Amino acid sequence: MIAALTIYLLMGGGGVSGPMVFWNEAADNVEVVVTDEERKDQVLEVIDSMLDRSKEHNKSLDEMREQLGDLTASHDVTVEQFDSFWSEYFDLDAQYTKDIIAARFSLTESLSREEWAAIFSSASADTSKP
Amino acid sequence: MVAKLKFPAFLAGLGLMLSACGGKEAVSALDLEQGAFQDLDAEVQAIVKDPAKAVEVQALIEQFHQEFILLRKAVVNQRMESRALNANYDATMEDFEAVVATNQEHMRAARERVTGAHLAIIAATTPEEWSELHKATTKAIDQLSESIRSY
Repeated sequence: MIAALTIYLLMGGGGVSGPMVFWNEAADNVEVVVTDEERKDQVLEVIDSMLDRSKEHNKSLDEMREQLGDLTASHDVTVEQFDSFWSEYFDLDAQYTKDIIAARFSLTESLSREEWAAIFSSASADTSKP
Repeated sequence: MVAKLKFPAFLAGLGLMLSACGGKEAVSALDLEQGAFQDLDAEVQAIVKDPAKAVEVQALIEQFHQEFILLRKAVVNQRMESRALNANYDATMEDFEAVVATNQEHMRAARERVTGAHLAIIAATTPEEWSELHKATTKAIDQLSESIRSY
C-alpha cells in the first residue's frame, strides 16, 4: 500500500508534462474552425502525430510504473536504484515535452491568430479562476 | 454533417473542476482523501508492532498526505497554466521552456522528498512488516485516484 502510494504521488499526477495533453478537443474544434481543406488536413495530421506521440509516451510510462512497482515493493531497495530510475524517467519526460512543444509551434505556423483563438479560446477560460 | 465545437462540454468539465475546488464536490473529494489516509494510519497501527516505530511511520504517512495535497494543487495549477500558455498565440518557446523547467523542478523536489520518506518507512519496518504493508488490501489508492480525477 505504501509502495503504491509512493508510485501514485510521483507518477499519478501525469508527470511533468501530462497537463499539456489536451489535443483531442483541439482536433474536434479544427474540424469546424479551419475551412480550407488542405490546411485542415495538414493541421489534423500534426495533431494526430501529437496524439500518437502521447500514446507512445503513456505506454513508456506504464512500463516505468511497473519498474517502479518492483523497486518500491523491495525492502532492500537503495537510493542509487531510485536515482537511476528517476534519471531515466526525467529524460523520457523531457524528450516527450520537447516533441510536443515542437509540434505545437508547427501548428501555429499553419493557423492564423483568429483560428488559434477560436480553437483554443476555451483554454483561456480555464485561467479565469485560481 | 455539422460538427459542434467542444467548448460547452469543456466548460461543463471546467465547472465541475472549479466546483470541486470550492463546492460540495470539494468536500467529497477531501473526505475521500481523509478516509484514505485514515485507512493507512489504521494499517500501520495493526501491522507495525513496535509502538515507537508505528508512531514514526505514521508521521511519515502524514508527510505523504501533505505531499498529496501539494500534488493536487500542482496538478490543477499545471493544467491551467499549460492551457493558458498554449492558448496564447504569441507565446514563445522560451515561455514554454520556463514553465516546463518550473514543473520539472517541482517534480524533482517532490521526488526527493517522497523517496526519502519511502526509504525512511522501510528503515523503520522489518522485512515482514514491510511485506504486510505492501500487500495490505485497502481502497485508499482507488479513493485517492478518484479524488484527484475530480479536480
